[in-house]
Amino acid sequence: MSCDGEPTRKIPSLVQYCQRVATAHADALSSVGDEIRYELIKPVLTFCSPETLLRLETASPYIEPDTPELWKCHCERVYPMALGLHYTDKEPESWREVFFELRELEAKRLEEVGSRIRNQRLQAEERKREREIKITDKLPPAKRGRWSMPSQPKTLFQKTRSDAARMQKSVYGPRMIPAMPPYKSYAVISTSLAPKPPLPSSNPRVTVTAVRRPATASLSPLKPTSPPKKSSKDADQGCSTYLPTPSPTPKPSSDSDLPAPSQMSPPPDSDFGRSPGKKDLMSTLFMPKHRAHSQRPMQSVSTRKVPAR
Amino acid sequence: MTGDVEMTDDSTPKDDWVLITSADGFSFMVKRKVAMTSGTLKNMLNTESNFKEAVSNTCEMSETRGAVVEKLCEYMAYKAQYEQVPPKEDIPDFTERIPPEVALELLVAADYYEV
Repeated sequence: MSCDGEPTRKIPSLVQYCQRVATAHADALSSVGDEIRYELIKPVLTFCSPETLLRLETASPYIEPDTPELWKCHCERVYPMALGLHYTDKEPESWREVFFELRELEAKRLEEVGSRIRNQRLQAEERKREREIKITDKLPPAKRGRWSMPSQPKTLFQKTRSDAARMQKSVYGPRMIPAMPPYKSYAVISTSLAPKPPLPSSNPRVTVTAVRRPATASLSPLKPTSPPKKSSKDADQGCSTYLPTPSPTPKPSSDSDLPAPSQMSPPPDSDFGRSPGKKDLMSTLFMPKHRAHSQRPMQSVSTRKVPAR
Repeated sequence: MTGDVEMTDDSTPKDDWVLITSADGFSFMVKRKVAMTSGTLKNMLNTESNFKEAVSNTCEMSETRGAVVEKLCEYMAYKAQYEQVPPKEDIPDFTERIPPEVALELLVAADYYEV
């Protein structure tokens, strides 16, 4: 009770407590009263927003002489770059004025930038809208009017044939094909005499048949149309042989577009024409033969005219 | 002169109560020890002086509202009580006991009474 010894702990003064509370609610202040020492409220005013500071100055003008430093702080805090840009070292008369001028400048700049961005966005949207899909009645202009397209779309088989032809030409170039043994001679057998094996599938374009080899020497007179060079070329080209008779139902564009199903030149079968080890890829594909070596009757005349080596 | 004045009550000077009145008619009684927390009041109530306040054990805060005086007394009691408490123990924070509406007035008063 009467022990009034030295205080063992330091309690903040009421002044400090009040300053703390007032600072926490700094922007709710509307006036600082009739007279108050500037030192007392300085920490509070430091934490006021510029609007509150203006309001307090209007309500209690006596604090105005002391506020320039506060306005200066606001300027530096909010518009540091603009301050360096527009105001050089000279001390402005009223920092409050400086602050509001800077604020206006900033607002103007933002407005400019905002409108620029808005315009850009609108332009981008315009461009995008142009590229959108539009519904219309008119047909777009035909792209390629020059080439005539096939009247019917290619069937799968036709596509396979054309692909195979392409592959054949690329894979089986002249080098890959082994040279024809020169002594062998072949003769063209009259097609009508050749027995026709049963066809697995009869397709107007490509047909498979077996050609009977000439067994006797009487048939040895060589056909000039089968020069060794050319036959070497054809030796590996598709062991499958053709039906001599042309297909009864020709496709309308087939002859013009694809090489006519030509018959194999004299090397008849896969077993004879090449080394046994060679894989017989061509037999698996219905390869159209080279037109030049076709032995079809209607083309036979022209093929003979092919230069023979 | 210092010894001539006698206290009317028997209790020791440190034990007696002090009256504090506000501008709008409120009165608060606090222990002298508590009132001595305030530097201004300590001088006012100093028995060695001839101040009216010291003689009558009364302080009239004629410029301060009752609400503010109340908070003043509250703080003085808070401080007197917890000053002796060793630092390790927790004590309540007085910040919560100050409503923002009186904060500014209390600030002015606290400054005047050197609290």
